[in-house]
Amino acid sequence: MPEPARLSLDYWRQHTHLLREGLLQRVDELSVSDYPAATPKQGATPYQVIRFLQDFLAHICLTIDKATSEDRLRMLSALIRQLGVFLDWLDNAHTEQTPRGLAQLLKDLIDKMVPGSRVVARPQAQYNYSIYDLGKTFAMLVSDFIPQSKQIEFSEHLSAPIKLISFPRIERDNMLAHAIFGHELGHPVAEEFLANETRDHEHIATHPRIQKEVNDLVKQNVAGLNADESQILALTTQTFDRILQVRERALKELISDAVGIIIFGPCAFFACYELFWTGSWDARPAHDSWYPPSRMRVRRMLALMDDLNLLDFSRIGGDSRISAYLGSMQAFIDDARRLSAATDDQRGIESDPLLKIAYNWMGESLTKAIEHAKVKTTAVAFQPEKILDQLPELIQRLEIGVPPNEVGDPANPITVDYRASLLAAWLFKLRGINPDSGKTLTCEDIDRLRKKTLSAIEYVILQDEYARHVTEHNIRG
Amino acid sequence: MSVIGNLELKKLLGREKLAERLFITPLLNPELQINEASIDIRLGNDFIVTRRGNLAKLDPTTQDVAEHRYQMKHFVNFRERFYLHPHELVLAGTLEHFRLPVDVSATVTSRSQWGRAGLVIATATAVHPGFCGTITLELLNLGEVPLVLYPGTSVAQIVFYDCKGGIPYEGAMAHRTGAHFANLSRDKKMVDREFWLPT
Repeated sequence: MPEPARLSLDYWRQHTHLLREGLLQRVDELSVSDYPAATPKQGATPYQVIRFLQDFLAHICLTIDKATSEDRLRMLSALIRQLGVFLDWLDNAHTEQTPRGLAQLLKDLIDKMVPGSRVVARPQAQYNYSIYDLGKTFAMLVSDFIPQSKQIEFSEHLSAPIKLISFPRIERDNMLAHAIFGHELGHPVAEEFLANETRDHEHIATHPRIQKEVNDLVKQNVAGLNADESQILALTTQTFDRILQVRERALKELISDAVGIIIFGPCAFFACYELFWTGSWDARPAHDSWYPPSRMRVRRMLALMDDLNLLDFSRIGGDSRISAYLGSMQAFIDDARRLSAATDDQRGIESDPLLKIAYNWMGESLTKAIEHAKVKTTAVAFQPEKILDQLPELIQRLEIGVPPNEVGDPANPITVDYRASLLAAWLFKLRGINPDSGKTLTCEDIDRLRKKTLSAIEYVILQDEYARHVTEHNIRG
Repeated sequence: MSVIGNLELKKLLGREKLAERLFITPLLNPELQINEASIDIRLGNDFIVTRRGNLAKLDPTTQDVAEHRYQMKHFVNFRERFYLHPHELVLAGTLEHFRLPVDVSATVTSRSQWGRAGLVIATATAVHPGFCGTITLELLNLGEVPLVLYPGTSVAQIVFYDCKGGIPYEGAMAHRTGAHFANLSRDKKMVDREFWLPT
């Protein structure tokens, strides 16, 4: 039987063009959505992402025309299909789904850590918080698919870091929970520490000892199994790799937790604790993710808050109005301390020889890792002295339904640090009492609290930027 | 009932006890915004536009369509434009959040420049004592040409009055952040709707 006629190269070229045009049309459709600007004076980043895609897809047109093989066209089709993920990212980044205050707050923080950054914030169906380096993806797309002579046309698109920030859609309006992003901001800091470690002689010097521990462990495991040398070598390599993975993941998460605490103070702790509460406190690091147990993370965060003196509210404790709120917060912290005093998580790890080696090894580096985190976050660190002084009045504002964005003399108010707004809201929530009715806060009360906190953060950022503008342009009333 | 003038407004804004203070936040430029007997207020970023094609009519007896079917929320960033066409009505939130003490009430009205260009700012202008939240402006272009609106610009002013015997407002408009549509068929005060409305 004769083979069916082969479809021509032009057939597949047209097929690839149709895909490209389909994506371009969908991107064009998204360009008419409303997206939140990350600062009052800056345009919204999603429009910049859309323009990049439009420019990229326009250039790819020529690449498709010039393709001389089916393989090349197949590869370009696969690329275009993969770029379809941008539709998902942009689809929900519009203002009805993404609070402007969240985009502004994250832009402000990221900007202090990586100046000039742009952010795209978007909710996702998955219950997960993440920050993805979109700028790296853009750079890779340009270097791999745009001819060198045309790459200059993309220099504006690649001139600043762009971060894609994802958060769980069901938590969209929960401004208090978004303190978890402190942890996400910690991931690049952790990556940097781990990269530095590969050149750290003190750390490198520990490898032979760990290698010996791994050898001993493998010997014990294969005793009586009649394994030959190549099998033992393979098992040793596999075990060592796994220990590296476990150690690395533990350091990544614990450094990121530390960054969260350094940036958002107790707000990050409360938000993480609520997140951890839904899972097991003592789940051992397991295959694939290797996350450290939540109880350990709570313990480490408490220790860091003590170290940074973030839980000493004595300087405002004399204010009778706020003492009830501080009492509720203290009760929460006491509960967390009781939880972290149990050692089930540690016993779980010590009962597994592989985890034990990895965690002992990780523990040796943790102090240095936390110091690295402190150094890298100096510009964005939570300042307890300043923030605590602002708390009583901010809580009082929340009690009467006013957003917690400023304090002091009404004729010349001081715009607060938005982390003070967040902490005031957390204290209000932890106390859980409606000051008017004296009853437990209802879901409606908490929804209102979230919205007023979001407003406060938007106001703080606007007020700061307006004040700078007025000063720079010498505007008077 | 008397209109509260500039000096008294400043005193109200500076009252020591927070519960008795008049809050307008953020009051970005008090010297510019506090007038002889009113305070200029700014447009916020949220607009609510009616999707006429999804809405047959607004009738308190029959309105059972979900709000989002006939309304479109439109968010406009600072420095971006919103076009209000002749004879079009849209809702817009104020930038500022208000809290009135119980001895003060207010009305919202257009600023003269905008009024003369055809912009009506509020058709239901009363703000009750104790009100807390952003105010929803009902923007109507009565002129013959489209008006370009920018969030942050002062298009309206609020005039305050002494109020004796007021009690704090806790109605459906309280504690809103952003523009808000009041569904006619969900008016909580229409407890006697069967008496007044056909079934």
